[in-house]
Amino acid sequence: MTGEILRRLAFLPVTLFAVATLVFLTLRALPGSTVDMLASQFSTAGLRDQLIAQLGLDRSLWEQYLIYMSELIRLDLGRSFITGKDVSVMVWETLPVTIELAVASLIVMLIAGLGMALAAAARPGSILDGALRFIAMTLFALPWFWFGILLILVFSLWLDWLPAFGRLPSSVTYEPITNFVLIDAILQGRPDLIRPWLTHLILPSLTVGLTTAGVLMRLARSGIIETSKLDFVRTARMKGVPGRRIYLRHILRNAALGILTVIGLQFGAMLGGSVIAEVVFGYPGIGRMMVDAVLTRDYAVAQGAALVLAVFYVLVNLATDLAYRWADPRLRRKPGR
Amino acid sequence: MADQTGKELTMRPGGAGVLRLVSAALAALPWVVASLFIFAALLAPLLAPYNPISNVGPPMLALFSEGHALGTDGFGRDQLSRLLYGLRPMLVVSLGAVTLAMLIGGAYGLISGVNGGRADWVMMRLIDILMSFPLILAAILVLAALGPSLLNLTLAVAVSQLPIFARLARALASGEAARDYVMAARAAGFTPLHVMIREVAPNILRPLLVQATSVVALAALTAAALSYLGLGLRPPAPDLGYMVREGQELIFIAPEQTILPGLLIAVFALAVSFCGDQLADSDRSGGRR
Amino acid sequence: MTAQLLDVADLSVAFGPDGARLAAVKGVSFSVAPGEVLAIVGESGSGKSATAMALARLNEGPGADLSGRIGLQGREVLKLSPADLQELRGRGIAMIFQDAMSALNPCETIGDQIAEALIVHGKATRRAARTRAVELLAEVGLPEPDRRAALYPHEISGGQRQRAMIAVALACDPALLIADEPTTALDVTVQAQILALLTGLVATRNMGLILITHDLGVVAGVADRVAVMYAGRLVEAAPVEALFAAPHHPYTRDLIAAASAAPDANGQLASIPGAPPNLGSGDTGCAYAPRCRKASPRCTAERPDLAPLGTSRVACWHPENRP
Repeated sequence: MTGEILRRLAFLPVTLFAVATLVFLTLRALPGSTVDMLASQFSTAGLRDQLIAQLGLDRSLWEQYLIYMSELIRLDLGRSFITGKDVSVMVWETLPVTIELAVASLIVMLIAGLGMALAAAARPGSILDGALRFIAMTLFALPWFWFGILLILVFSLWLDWLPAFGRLPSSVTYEPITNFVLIDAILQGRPDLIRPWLTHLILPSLTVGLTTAGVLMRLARSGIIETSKLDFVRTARMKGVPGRRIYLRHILRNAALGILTVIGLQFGAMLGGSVIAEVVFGYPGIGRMMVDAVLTRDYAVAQGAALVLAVFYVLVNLATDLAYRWADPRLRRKPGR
Repeated sequence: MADQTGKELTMRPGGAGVLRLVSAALAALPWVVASLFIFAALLAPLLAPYNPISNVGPPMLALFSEGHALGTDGFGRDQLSRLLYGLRPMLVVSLGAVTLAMLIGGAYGLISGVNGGRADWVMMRLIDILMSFPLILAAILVLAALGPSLLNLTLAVAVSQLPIFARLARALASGEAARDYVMAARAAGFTPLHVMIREVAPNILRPLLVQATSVVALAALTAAALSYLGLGLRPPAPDLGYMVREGQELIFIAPEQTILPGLLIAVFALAVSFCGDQLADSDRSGGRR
Repeated sequence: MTAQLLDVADLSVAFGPDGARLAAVKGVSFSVAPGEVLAIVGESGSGKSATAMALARLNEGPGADLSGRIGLQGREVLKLSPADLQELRGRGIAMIFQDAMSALNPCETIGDQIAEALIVHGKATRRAARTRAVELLAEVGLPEPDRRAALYPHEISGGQRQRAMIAVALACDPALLIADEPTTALDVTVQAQILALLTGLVATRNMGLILITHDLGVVAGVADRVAVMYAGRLVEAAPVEALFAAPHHPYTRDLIAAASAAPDANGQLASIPGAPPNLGSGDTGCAYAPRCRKASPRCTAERPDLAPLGTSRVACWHPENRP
């Protein structure tokens, strides 16, 4: 077990290195890359050449790559072509926002997805099961951005219950320390921050959480049903264990391992959904920063944001993988002693 | 494909006649809806009353206005015509991207699985790295590099789907490669290329096609999201995802302008998902028989 | 018959979707006394496992019907409410399954799985149940039981797993134990140990044991009485000595012959020519007739019922070894 963890951790730098290389190659080496894009934006050739020299784009691809990598090792993500701001600082400002949204979405996804799966799998083939499966399929088929807009329409415009835009209202003054509102509210003794922060978080996290809950429900449901057909469930019935206890203690406990893997995989879809939700709701996270950068061709920012998001995803997957190994006694304790 | 569902239904034993008829109709519904989308997209030039990109009436006409059944947008363009033409990029991109991903990913997995060994290991680690990007992120990066266009959108969505097909094809191909008939073909001196194309490929095609059907919806949703972000077609070309974006700005006065295009995407994705589900189910029970 | 523990009369089991049920077990009757070992023998598909499951109503549910009468310690098993049935399982009747690896929960320690039966039946507190689990592991012959109780099923050997499975079944002192092919998955020396353990337990606990097996060799050393099943019916029931000394049904005789024959020149074990009928095939006449050397026209036209013959009961128009 510890050997496996060490092997996974040892492979992490390799993955990160490969991810960084892939981001670099996609943005700089594909046809129609930065130089051509920049060329169309600047009127005078002199201005353009000056910028290109400044960014090191006149060097060979190989030299550019070495510079990029050596900067990366020093955690230097470069500067925005447009605002001149340090990208690392921009990441530091926006990543916590996305993490807040991701955690809130994860909670929504788990409650909705697992709740539906538990109810449906308790009686497979029933009307409730059929209805929940249809709902799950529909949730999956909803375009994320459109669902977000519908939520705005209903809860902000028609019912006027929840705000539709941003992370905090402009009337609230917020001087970030960690950029996590909840932590800062505690550090600064500002309980008044929490309510507006939560009301702004509800609609975006519902958008991401519910649209990703469909897939989770379907996979968790079939995992539970498959587990309930296994022999040890019959053994539990033979012992006279009540049905409820069999479902909770034997079936769910074993199915939970498979569900953990699904949650890890769904986290990718959730990050993708956050990017969209941040745009729909004007939520100032790293996903929106990346999309804006791509649209304005601010490649240093797009590159930095993509890299950070990919690394975040890799780390989350590693964490779920390790959690899986820890939770399954068959992997935690190998036989042969 | 339609008789596939028919076959599955007649096999289901029991149930009263009416019930069977209802469930047959329900099972056929997604195929009918998906076909309707394809026909509407194909026949858009005949069905659409106006040119979708020209200003043909007063702006912001309401629903059911005379001459404009679904009203007009902020530029006075006919909404019905734009919706009909907007189906085209959605279908082209989703079907095109999935086909492309299946062909390239399938070939990649086939080569990797049949050859095995060190090459196989390296090829699959590359796929692992590609998979360490969330789907949408990979597509956004590709579009960032290539710039927005119909072809590039298709490529970007294809790249995001490619790893799934590569992995599936690799698993299937390495399974097939160990079977007697492939061994025999190799022993008979056929070239590896012949073995791959003539012996292994036909046997892994069907599961790949089933997988393809089940990811069309995801491809359509991904493409729509990219269009929504402004990374898809360039305006004024009609595109459902971008129409939702344009409509969002008019949400206070004409919410239908954002609701309708999104609804079309959702219904298409739902119909194709059910089609994919049916195929996967019949494939699973077919495998057991 | 006196003071029977289990009394089964006309038990039938049918599987399949509504309207197309197929009978796996057709009107089986037998009984077991305390301290007695009954072996139910048959090929796979003969309905022996379905019979065993039916005794604890483990195979009941949508798509499966049980009918007939099962009397256990004077209670009508088939008429029990779900709550009473739960009460009966584990205490009145318990079962050991063929593959202990899949029959034990992979995510719980062995000790916990034994203790659970005690806890849900309210027979012990959590702590007392732990202690009792270790005692039970010792009783079934697991070395270092207190250390093994904390292990997971994948951490012990196949023979030890089957012993642990037996300890799970014994936890609530069942009056009747059913062992469904308990040794099939084990190698020969371990098989013998497990069988010895089971017979020892029957004697010390005065419990009834039903041993389900396809292996006549197992039966000879262990069982008091034997019931032979073919195509969902009992074809012969007899005390073990009588069965081996003078089998009456041609099927029993063929089975014994096949089991005792040495492997042929190709290393193939001897087997009865032909195959058992499918579940759905017709039900007139004796099901064994197509494979039987003594079959007459009457055998295919009219079904023989189980009738006494000496110390045995046999369902055959042309029984062998008439006394």
